[in-house]
Order: sequence, then C-alpha cells, then structure tokens
Amino acid sequence: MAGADPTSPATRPAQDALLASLRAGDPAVTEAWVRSQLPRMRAVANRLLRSESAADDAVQEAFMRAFRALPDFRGEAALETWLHRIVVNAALGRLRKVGRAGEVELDQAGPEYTDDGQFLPGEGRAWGAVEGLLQREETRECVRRMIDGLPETSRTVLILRDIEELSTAEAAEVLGVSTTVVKTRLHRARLALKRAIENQLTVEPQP
Amino acid sequence: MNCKEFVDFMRAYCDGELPVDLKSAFEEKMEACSLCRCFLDGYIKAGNLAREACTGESKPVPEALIQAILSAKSEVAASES
Repeated sequence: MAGADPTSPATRPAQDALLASLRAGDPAVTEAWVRSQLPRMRAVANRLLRSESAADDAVQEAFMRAFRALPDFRGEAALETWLHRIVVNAALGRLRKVGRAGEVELDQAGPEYTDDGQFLPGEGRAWGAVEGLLQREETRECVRRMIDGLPETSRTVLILRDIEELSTAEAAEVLGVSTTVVKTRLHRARLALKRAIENQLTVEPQP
Repeated sequence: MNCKEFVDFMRAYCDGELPVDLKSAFEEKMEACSLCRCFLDGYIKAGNLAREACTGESKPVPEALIQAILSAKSEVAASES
C-alpha cells in the first residue's frame, strides 16, 4: 500500500511529532488526524463490507483500537499504513461474523483449452484502448458491481492485493490463509473479472 | 510452453515472481503467440480498470461519525487517566 516511509529522514520528524501529539491526547491534532484519515479508511471498509452503516461501525471500532494501541505503536510502518491495517482487520472481522468470508471458491473462471493446452477459438480476445472507459461514472459503477459480484473469498483477495495494494504476505496474514491460497484466489479473481468485463463492457477490439 | 501453462504463470509474471528461466520461456511464448499476448493484455487491463474504478470513490464523511469517534476517544482517555 502506498504510504510514506516512516524511516526516511524527510518524514520521520513529522510522524514523530504527530505521534507525540496523538499520544498526549491533543484534541486539535486528534480531530485533524481523524478528519484527514476518515475518507480513505471509510472507503476501504465500505469496499470490503458493501454497506455504509457496517463500514461506519467498522471504522469507529478501528479508530478505538488504534487509539488504545497508540502507546505501543513502534513506527515500523507509516501511521496511515498502520491504521489502514487496523481498519482492514476490523472490516474483515465483521465479514467473518456474518459468515460471508467462507463462501464458495471460484473454480472455473479461466479460459478453455484444447487437449494439448492451446486456446480454443474465441479465447485471447483482443482488447483495445480502455483508458477512456472509466471517464463515465456509469462504467466505473459497472466495474465496481462486477467486483462486488465475485465470490467473497476472491473478492476480498482482489480488493486487498490489487486495490488496497497489500503484499501477498500481508493479505495472507489479515485473511488467516497461506500465501499460496492468496496467489491462487487472486489469479482466479483476476481471470473472473477479466471475463466479466469482456462479457459486460464493450471493449473496443483491436484489428 | 502451451497457452494453458502461459495462463497459469501469468499472475506470477505480473507480480514479478517468475524465476529467470521461466520468465524467459514465458516471454518467448508471449512473443510467438498472439492469443497469449492478447490474453495477458486483457488480464492486465482488467486489473487496471478495477483499480481505477475504485480510486477516488470516497464520499463525504458524515459529521456524526467524526463526532462519534472523537467522543469515544475522549471516553477512552478519561477511563485511562
């Protein structure tokens, strides 16, 4: 995930000063920090939970966990990255409670092959330029719905790895699965999303 | 390498995890097979679309949520002092 390197000489003093103020309970700094972090953290929780009210509960829980854990925060990661992990954990915890995290795996999202492993006709469809597609909010919403439509195990891995940009090891840790499972689920999710986009969006073919 | 093996190795290739020998074989296949080239292109572009569709979608945060967090924070601070 993107985040300033807390060990770099340029960002370390700023983070140290922020941490000291937060630990001291400075009301103005605390409020400014909460306001600055909330939009992104709420979007992350909402993406995972697909419910604004559940996301708000998860974010509130995550901030409380963060405030309690601040004295023990050692600064190995950027503060924003640390908070992001707490939010992801809170949201995944809620997903597990409602039992959605254990839904079926994607097992057949890939292309079809001949007996000797070559693509069947119709696979390997060419994609033209897609950069312009997302200028329309309608298309962006359509892609988000396709992601939401993936089975839970695939959807969460895709969000954590490709959208929230956690590493494979980080995703495996927060999901409580092996890195091999993360890699397998991610590949299937990417294939399923590719197929869904090809089926539902007009992807301009190349000559 | 056939098309199925190419697809099986795509994730590792995109994530920079293929060992040197497999990476060479993968890239040779990509060079030789236009279907594989197109398939990989779509795989990468689908990921890019997903990332871009979910970027910058944050909505205005309700003031009530901000105040609820700050209020709960004050209670935590009071209980710890």
